[in-house]
Amino acid sequence: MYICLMKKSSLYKGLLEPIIIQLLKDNGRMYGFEITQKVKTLTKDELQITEGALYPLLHKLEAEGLLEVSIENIGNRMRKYYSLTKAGKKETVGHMKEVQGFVETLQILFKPKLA
Amino acid sequence: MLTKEQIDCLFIYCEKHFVKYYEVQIELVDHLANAIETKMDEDHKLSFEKALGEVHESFGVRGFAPLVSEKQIAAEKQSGKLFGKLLKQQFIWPKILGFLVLTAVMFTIVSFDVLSFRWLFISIMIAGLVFEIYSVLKIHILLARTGKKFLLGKISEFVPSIFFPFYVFYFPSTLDQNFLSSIHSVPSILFYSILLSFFIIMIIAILQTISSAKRSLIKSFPEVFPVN
Repeated sequence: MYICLMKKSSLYKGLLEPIIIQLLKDNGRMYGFEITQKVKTLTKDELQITEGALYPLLHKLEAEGLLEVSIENIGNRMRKYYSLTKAGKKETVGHMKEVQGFVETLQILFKPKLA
Repeated sequence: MLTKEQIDCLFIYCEKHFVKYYEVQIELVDHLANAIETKMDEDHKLSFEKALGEVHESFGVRGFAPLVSEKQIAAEKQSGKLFGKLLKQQFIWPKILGFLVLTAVMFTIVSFDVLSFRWLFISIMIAGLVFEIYSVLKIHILLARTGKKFLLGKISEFVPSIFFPFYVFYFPSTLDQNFLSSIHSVPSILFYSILLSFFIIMIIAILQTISSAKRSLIKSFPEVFPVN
């Protein structure tokens, strides 16, 4: 019951990093706005990444060497694309294992107990 | 798609909302433009100004502030990491030969005359400071020509500050006569020779970090930094 009352976004908070890394793994390179829209579309509006959470995380991952950037002129403005570095690609494997473990733990906790 | 004037308007809007660094502005302007375009496509009656206001609201109560502060922290962390990497490279074969030769030269000089340690130390410190100031000034002149404010300007000042503790800890001790008289045995001469060589290597790594950050910035923004 408690979980139902919680804001959905707070449940996903710790998963933002693996979500971004997985999206970049699947799509090659992406820009900030594209990431927010892709997540919205894939989750059918269930999850919306805020700009205040997305960009600081992208910058942090860039500083850690997991992401690399390229800047392109798209006509009337510049666009900054993010893609995974070699280290970032390695990280994907670790992240996926962590997420799978997390999901399995939740399933154990919330699985209805049979009498 | 937004017009050139509307994009210029977004840059001014960022400036007004304390997003001063161009590296942050270009990403934010693109995000704002995309979000505004999406909103205006969904509602053709929506004006550019109204859409901008709505998009800004979606950034929450702190607005653009976390983006700027987090970017600055990330950039400092990135340059610190680059400095560490470049410093480490100096101690890997064959570059370590330079360090060993330098240490041997220092050892020979200090063994010959212990008083020379003070002058060597002061000369290295002053030369290091001069090179660092020159390199930072060069960056500032380059950035000033663009008429834009870059995070690199801040970073170029941050990187040399890594060296400041060494100035603070060791500089006063070199002026102490008792300290100099303590350098008499071979191990102590060797230790201070290694220390002097390490200072030189650190200065080189600092200058390389600034130069590398500058090259990467020029490569990222060819329109702002045209090749001469």
